Amino acid sequence: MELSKKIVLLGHFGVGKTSLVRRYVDSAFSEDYLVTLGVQVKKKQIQLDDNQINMIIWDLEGNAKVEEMRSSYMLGTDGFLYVFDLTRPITFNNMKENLDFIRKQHPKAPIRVVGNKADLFEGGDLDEFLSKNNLRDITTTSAKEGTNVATVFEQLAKELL
Amino acid sequence: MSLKNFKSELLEKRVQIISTDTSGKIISSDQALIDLKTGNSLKELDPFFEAILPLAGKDNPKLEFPCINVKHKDKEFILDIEVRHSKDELIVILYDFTEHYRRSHPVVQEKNENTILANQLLVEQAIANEKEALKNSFLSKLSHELRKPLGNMMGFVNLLQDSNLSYEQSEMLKIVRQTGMHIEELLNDLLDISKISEGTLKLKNVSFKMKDVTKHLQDMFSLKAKSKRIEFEINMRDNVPAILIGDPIRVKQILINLVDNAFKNTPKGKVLLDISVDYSRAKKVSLRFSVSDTGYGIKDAELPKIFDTYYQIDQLLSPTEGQGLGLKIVDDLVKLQSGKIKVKSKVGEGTQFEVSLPFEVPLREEKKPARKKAVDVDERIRVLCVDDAELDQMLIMKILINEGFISMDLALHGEMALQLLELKSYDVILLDLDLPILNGIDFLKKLRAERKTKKQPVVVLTAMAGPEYQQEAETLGISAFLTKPYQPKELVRAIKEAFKTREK
Repeated sequence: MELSKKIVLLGHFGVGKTSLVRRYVDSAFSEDYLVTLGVQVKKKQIQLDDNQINMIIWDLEGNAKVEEMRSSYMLGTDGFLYVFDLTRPITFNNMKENLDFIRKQHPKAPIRVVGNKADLFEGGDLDEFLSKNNLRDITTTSAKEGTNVATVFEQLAKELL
Repeated sequence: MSLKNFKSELLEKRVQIISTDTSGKIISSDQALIDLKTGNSLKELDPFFEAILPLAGKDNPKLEFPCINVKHKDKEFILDIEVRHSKDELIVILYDFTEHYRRSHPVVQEKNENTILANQLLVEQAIANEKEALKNSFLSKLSHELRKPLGNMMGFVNLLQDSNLSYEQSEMLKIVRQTGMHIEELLNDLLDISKISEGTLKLKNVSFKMKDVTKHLQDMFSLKAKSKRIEFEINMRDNVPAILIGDPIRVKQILINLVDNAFKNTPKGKVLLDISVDYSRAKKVSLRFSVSDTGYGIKDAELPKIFDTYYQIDQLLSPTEGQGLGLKIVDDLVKLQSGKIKVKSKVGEGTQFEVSLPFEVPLREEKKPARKKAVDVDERIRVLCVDDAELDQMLIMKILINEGFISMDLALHGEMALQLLELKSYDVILLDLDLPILNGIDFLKKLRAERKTKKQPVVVLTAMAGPEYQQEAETLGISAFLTKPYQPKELVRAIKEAFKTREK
C-alpha cells in the first residue's frame, strides 16, 4: 500500500532541522548555517513492511515558541520531530511547554524528540547529561556524521502506520 | 504605458493562477511564473502540494501558506500560496515574494547567528565556571588534607630543634624545616588562589604604617641577601603617608612575593624595592611599588604568561629554584585591591615589576588606644585540649610542657570535653574542629548554651583553614583561630591572650 505522511520538524533556530532533513533525504551535510525562511518541503520514499511510505517532510523556520508558528503550516500533520541542540540549553529549556502545546493541538500525532549535534557535545558523559537535564525518551543525533538520523525518521514512520 | 496598465502587468507577472481538479490534475494555468503542463499533477511541482491539496475541501474552502520555498528547473521561488476550493475544482494562486523575502534574509541570518554565538558563549562560560569551582574546591580540600600531617611534622621538627643536637644534625634539621616551611607557603598560596577565585577572600580596611611593612621585609630578606651576596635596598620616598588605610597583610603578601621572586631570579647584583606616591587626592592616595632586580630577565614572548597559575619561567633563564605560585597570587591580589601591575624585563639585565595600589589616608592622626596593662600570667594555666589525633595531642603537650607553667587535660571529642567540664573548670580550651561523636562546632554551640561556660575562652586549632569554618567558629565566640601547622610561639601567645580574657 502507498501512503503519504506529513512530518513537521519544529524547534529553535540553529538546532539543525534543515541539516537533519538534508542528511536524511539528500545524504548531504554543510557546516555553514543558513537560516530557513518559512517552509521547505522535501519528500522521501521508504519501504516499511509491505507499505511504501511517502514522507512529506516540512522543515519549518526555527522558533522558540511553537504557539507562534502559523497554524496553517501544521494542518494535516501526521507526526512531529521536535529538534533541540545538545550544546545550547536554551533550545531545550522550554521544551516541555512546547511539547504540551503540540500535544494539545494535535493529540493524535506522535512526537519524537531529537537532541542534535551529538558530535559537538562536550559536556562530559552524554547519558548523565540527559538524565541531569530531565531529557528522557529522546534520540540523540548527529546530522554531520549521520548518526541515528535515518533511525529517528523511520521510528516515527513506524508509529504512523 | 498608463500607470494602470503598468500595475496590472507587474501584478500578472508576479502572480500565477492555476486551476486543478480535486486530485491536483492541472486544468489550466496562466504560466506567469512557472510553466506547467495541462493534465500533469500539481503534486509533481513540489511535495508541498502533495500534503496540501488533499486538505482542501468543504471544511477548508480557503487555505493560505506564506513563505513557501519552491524549486522549479533550477529556479528557486519563495511564494505565498493560496488554495481555494470551489465545487469540483481547486484554484491555486502563487504570489511571488522571492525578492521581498530574500531582502530580509541577511537581517534574520545575522540576528540568528549573533543569538547562537551569545548562547554558545554563555554555555562556555558556565562550563569554565564549573571547572574553576571544581578546581578551587579540590585545591582547598587538598590544602586542608596536607596541612594536618605537615603540621605534625613541623611541630616535632620545632621541638627537635630545641633538643640537644650535634652541629651536623642541627644543620640537617634546618633543611628539613626550611623544606617544610616551603611546602606550607605553597599550601597557603594554593588556598589563597582558590579563595580569591571563589570570591571568599575578604580584604581588611584598617590603618597601618607602611614603615612596619618595610621593616618586616627588611628583617625577612636581609639574611637571604647576605647569604646570596646580593644587595637588598628598600627606598621609601618621604612623601609616602606615614599612616594608610588598607589591608597591610595583603600588601605585605604582594611585596614578599615580588621580592622573593626577584631574589630567586637574581644570581648577583641588587634587588631594589622603591615605594613612591603615584598620585594623591584628598583622602585618596595611590602608591607605586617598584621591585627591580639585576637578574636573568624574562624573554618578551614569556612576559604575557608569567601570571598564569602554573607557569614557570624558562628553566634555562632561572635554573635555581621553582617559581611557585607567587606571581599568580600577586596578580590576583593586585586586581582584588583595584590596583594595577606592569612588568618590564630585558634578558641578561633584569626585571622590574611595578604595582600601583590605592589606599585611603586618615585626615587626622588617629588616637592610639591606651595600651592595656599587661596581665600577669605568672600562674598555672589550666588547659583542656580537645583533639582526637594522638600526634596533635603529643605535640601540644610537648609545647606546653616546654613552657613549664601550664597544666593540661585531654578529651578525645566534644562529648568527653563536656563531661570533664562538669567535673572541673579550665582557663582555656584548645579545640580541634574535626572531631568524632561531637564535632568542634557543635561542641562550641553546647558550650555557649550553658551559663557556666558561656564565656569560656576557646582557642581553635584546626587544619580546616577555610574562612567559612573560621567565620562559624568566631560567631560562636572564640579567642583565637590557629590553622595547622602553627608555630609553638603562636600557640603559647594565643593561650596567654585567651587566659587574660577569662572571667575570674
